[in-house]
Amino acid sequence: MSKKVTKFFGSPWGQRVSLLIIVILIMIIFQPKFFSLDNVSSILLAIAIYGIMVCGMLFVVILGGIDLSIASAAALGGSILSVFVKGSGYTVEGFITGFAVSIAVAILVGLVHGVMCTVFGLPSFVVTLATQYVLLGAVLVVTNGAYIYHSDFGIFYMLGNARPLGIPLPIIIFLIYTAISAFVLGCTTYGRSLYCIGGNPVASGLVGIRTTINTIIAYIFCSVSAFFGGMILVSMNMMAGAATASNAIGSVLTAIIVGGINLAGGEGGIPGAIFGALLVGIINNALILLGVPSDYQKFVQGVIIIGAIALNVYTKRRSENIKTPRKPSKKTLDSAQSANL
Amino acid sequence: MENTPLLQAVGINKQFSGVPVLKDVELSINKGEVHALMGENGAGKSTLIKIITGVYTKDSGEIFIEGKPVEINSRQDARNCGISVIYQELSLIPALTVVDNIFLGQEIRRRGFLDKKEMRRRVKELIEKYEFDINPDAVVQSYGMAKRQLVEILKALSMEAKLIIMDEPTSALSAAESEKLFETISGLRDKGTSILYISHRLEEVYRLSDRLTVMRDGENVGVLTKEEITPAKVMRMMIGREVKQIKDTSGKKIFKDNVLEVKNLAYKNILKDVSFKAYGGEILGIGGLVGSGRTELIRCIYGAEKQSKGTITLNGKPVKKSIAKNIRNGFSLVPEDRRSEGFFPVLSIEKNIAIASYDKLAKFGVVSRKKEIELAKKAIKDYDIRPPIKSMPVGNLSGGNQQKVILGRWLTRDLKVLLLDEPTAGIDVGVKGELYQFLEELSKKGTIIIMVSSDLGELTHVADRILVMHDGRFFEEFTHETVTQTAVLLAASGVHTEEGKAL
Repeated sequence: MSKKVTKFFGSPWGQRVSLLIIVILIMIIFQPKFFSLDNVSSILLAIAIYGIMVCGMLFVVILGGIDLSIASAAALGGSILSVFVKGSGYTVEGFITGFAVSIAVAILVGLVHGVMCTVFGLPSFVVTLATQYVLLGAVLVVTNGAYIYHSDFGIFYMLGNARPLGIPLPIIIFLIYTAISAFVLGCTTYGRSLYCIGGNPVASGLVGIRTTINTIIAYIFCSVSAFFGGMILVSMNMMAGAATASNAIGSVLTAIIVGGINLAGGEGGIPGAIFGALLVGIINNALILLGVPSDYQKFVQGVIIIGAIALNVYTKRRSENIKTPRKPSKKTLDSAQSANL
Repeated sequence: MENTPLLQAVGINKQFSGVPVLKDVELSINKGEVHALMGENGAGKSTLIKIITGVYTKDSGEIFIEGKPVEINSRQDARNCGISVIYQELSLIPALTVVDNIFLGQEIRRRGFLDKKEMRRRVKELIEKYEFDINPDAVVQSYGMAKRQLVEILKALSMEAKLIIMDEPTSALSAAESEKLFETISGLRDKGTSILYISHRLEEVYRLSDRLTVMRDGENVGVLTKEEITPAKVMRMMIGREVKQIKDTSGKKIFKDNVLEVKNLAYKNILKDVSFKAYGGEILGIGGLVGSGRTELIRCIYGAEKQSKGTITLNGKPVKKSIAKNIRNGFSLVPEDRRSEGFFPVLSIEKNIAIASYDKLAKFGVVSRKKEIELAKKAIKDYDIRPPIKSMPVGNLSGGNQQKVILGRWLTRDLKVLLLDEPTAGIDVGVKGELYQFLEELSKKGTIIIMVSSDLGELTHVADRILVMHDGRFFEEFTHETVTQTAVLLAASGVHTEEGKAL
């Protein structure tokens, strides 16, 4: 029994859970307000938006890429929707058109990312670093460089603020989105193919995986998730502009790294990523409740990223040492073989 | 001068984890001679070179340079003794200039700054002395393989190398470029530099070398002078006693209804005109040197490359140019480099096996977890994959077990054609035997098996029929009864068996 417990806390999941328990224990001692329904709901609300983007980003990270443009993409998604709903005088048609146009643009952006990375073979890091600015420029054009403020309580307001059964709608959307992503990654051939492409692109081609198309689809999903998240965020805040979701890339990547997902591709899953988002959200919330000035919050976020990577690498090494006896190098095998010829 | 030994290695022994790899090996290289070193894969050539150049340390034995005993324990030691190696994969940095590359790591400094002028002057001097067609200021990436090799040679010369070791230098060169290289080598020899030349290509060795050392199974077989070298003699020395492998072919059935036909296949400049038929129930071995077009041939059949001419048909139907469709029609490939092309190192054994079978394991794109696990368990059991833990990442397995995973991926399907490229490279003997067993069983079920191999023992032992490629064509065909290892080697070098006997 005790052996099992030690083993559990030595495993990546065990460490994640124990980290969470530690944070929660600290909060129980210092700030009992932490467990109020209001606070829990506000934590989940904060996670919901980034959680949706995390799902999209995870697809791209698993196949060995990265999308640095998601913050600008979210801002653009929110801005396009805002322009349409405001321009139409907050009609339902205006909302639907704005939503559809926004998603169409998202698909186009993802398509460009995917094609650049596969057909032209450019590194995703470079491509999305560039499109990040292109999209931000587009936001400024769409909004004329100013904030768009909303004062409507119709369908547009509902997207970010409705509470069916008392649960905020963004949280419900987030949970559904996560469930679908987890299903696609974990249970479909498409999901399997992403892990393979991330694990070994050449071998993927040789077992008949359509690497180009599948990669493009992942980039499209990532863009759509960012645009979608941005639209919900704009509705929640009732304002849109270049600064919408400006810290998304940091939060999303932190969640993914803290969730123990290998940025080199081929590994990780939705549970880890969502756990990462949860932990980061809880810590951010805790810092606010404990009265830590906002400047120091960034500092803590940085420390958490480094700590998480260090912990991941450490556990991985340890578990590998335990599991596998040192294998003889290829050279020794070759020579051993030659001696037996 | 002519006959003073520059380098003498005496009684060199080396073991790897208790297995002797070099047994009392001797090597003597004279000043200003081109000395060839030959032997089959695994004969110990590379190990010997690595000991001379300080990559490995010898267990016992002595090395003399110009009669004086030396200890070579690092690459630096070797360099100080005047020994330089030019590797198959060149070690130049493409983005730097010729001068920068040559002086990389041994830059000339003046008052703490790089003395570019002096370095450039020295390189120019060398280029003029040896009449190389190289611009000292050119960026290396603008040069092709042949010129890069010259830069490597310059680098060696700049370190005042007395002995330059070349490991398969022509493997990446065209015929014309090789010709140039031979001239360069002769030029170096005439100016007093010794060359140790390692190659599988017999014709090069005859042309170039003054003397030839043959190794087999970690031992010296002998030293031949230029006058004594004949292809047949060298082959016999390399292979030793001709061992006739006996394979029980009784009761072997040919399945006439499963036939792969390749007609006049051409691919780029590599495959020139290849035609053959292979039937179910037979194991077709393809021999030949690296670069003779073997790999490209099976990649074309698999649909991974598009042929420029010719047709490939399976049972009368043309083979598609889509790997996914071909897999569904019963094709499979075990690629040459399993780490970079075969398995997925971070993924589990289970996923690695299931990956080619989702057409059967999934419905409407949704994978049946139950079937996936069953398949993995069956493959682990049937092919004795160790450790039998289906969640273990394949990158953590031994080479042999990694190959079993790749085989398991295919053998759990209904195969019409199995293509294998060097299936047992780097795999220990025990697992090799198991793999051959799997192939034999599969063959009895009527699958067409085509196996490319450089391992002569493997070809003659496993294959029912052997086609030897030379320069993009089939050069000679052997049956299991007529084949000998010598004949295959000769054919791979472009010498017919009959001619070989005359030599």
